Amino acid sequence: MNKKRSSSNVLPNTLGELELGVLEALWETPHLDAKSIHERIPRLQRTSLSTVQSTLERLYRKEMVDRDKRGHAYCYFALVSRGNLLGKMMGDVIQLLHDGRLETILSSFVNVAADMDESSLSELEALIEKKKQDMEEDL
Amino acid sequence: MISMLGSFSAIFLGLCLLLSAVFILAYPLIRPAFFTLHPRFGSALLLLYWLCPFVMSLASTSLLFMPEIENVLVDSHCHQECVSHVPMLHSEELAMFGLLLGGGVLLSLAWRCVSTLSKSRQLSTQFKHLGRDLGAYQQLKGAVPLVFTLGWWHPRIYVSEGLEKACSNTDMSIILLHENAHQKRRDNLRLLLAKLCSVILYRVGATKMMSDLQLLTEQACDFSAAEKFGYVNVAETLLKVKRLIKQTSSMPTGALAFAETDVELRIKALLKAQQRLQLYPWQLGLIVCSLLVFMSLLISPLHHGSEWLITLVSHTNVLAH
Repeated sequence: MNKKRSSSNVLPNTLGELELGVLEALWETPHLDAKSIHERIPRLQRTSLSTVQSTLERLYRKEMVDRDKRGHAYCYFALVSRGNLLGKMMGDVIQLLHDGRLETILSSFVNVAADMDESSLSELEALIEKKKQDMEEDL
Repeated sequence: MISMLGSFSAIFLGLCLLLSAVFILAYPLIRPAFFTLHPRFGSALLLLYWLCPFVMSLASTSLLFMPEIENVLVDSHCHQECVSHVPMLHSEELAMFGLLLGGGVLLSLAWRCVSTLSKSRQLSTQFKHLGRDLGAYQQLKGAVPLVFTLGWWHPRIYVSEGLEKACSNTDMSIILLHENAHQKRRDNLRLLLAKLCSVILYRVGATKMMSDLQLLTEQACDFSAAEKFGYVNVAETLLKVKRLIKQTSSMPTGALAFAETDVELRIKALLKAQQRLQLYPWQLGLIVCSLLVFMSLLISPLHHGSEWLITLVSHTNVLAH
């Protein structure tokens, strides 16, 4: 059963630093056991083997990785690709921008929340064209 | 000690609420002035206006509780003894109530700050792991056209591959210049400050001021990009990106169809950029000096007002300290 998501998590597809580190290792080399994953995690991020094991368990419950038993150990592989995860996160960011929940965290070039109809966009296009013509005439 | 802290907290909150109400009521009158200025100055002054109730209340209350300064700023008067004094709540219950109220506001501010910081760190960590560092910005693999600046103190720019592919080199340079301006101005931090101060402000006024601040902030970055590429080119890029997002967006439509959206206002502002007024350093200095004078003039009525209110509430005389 999935654990209840922490209320401080801003994105629905949120992952911690160690979870991302584990996924990185599995994207590079699939079908690894916990010990091999632990060795592949960058030294700065590295924690104990048992922490990596519990992280793998969490990812398994989140359906981000799957596993098969080889001998005495489980071998893990990623169920979600880097591109898919990033795509989901970008979708989450757009949704949160739309809800106005990221206004003090990030600034986006164009407000994705405010929609405009085609006639308003065409009107703006006409205004820009007129300005260009005025500038050419001034020259 | 509890009496001193409780009095400080009660006076600060009361003054902050009062000043907030005054600033919100005056806002519709003063609002057009922010939009006639160059957005660089307009956004800075609006932020200052926004912070004023909070900062001025804090500074004035602090001055009120400094007897040395208070002697200069408050006209001399005596209660039972003619000695230097500060307004003080003598009812322990009232002092405790003031202290709890102040503590609650402080905790609420700290909580907002920490939770927003944690969200920001969470997003940064994830995008840093999944993105590709290209020096000027972090590239995100994905067809969705998206560009944003994330972070407060050291903000990073994130651009999706979808946007890179759909934009020309000039468009990309304009977008990056706009985002660079956000980085240099630390706009996310400015917006956070404004948001934190809105804990005290009434919600109805805060929403309008926040959306105006966001608009002026975006306009300031548009104008910054336009200094190199021209106002018309920036307006064209804005329109292009808006169309691109509209084509790929699955968001519900129509809600804001009849209102002027931020892109519409930004493009119109760019096309009429020459009408925006620049501020000279002496004018900015004059504004800051006026605020300081206003704040020092506030001390005497604040002292007497607090004493009157304390007497009224606690039915006791204000004793000298």
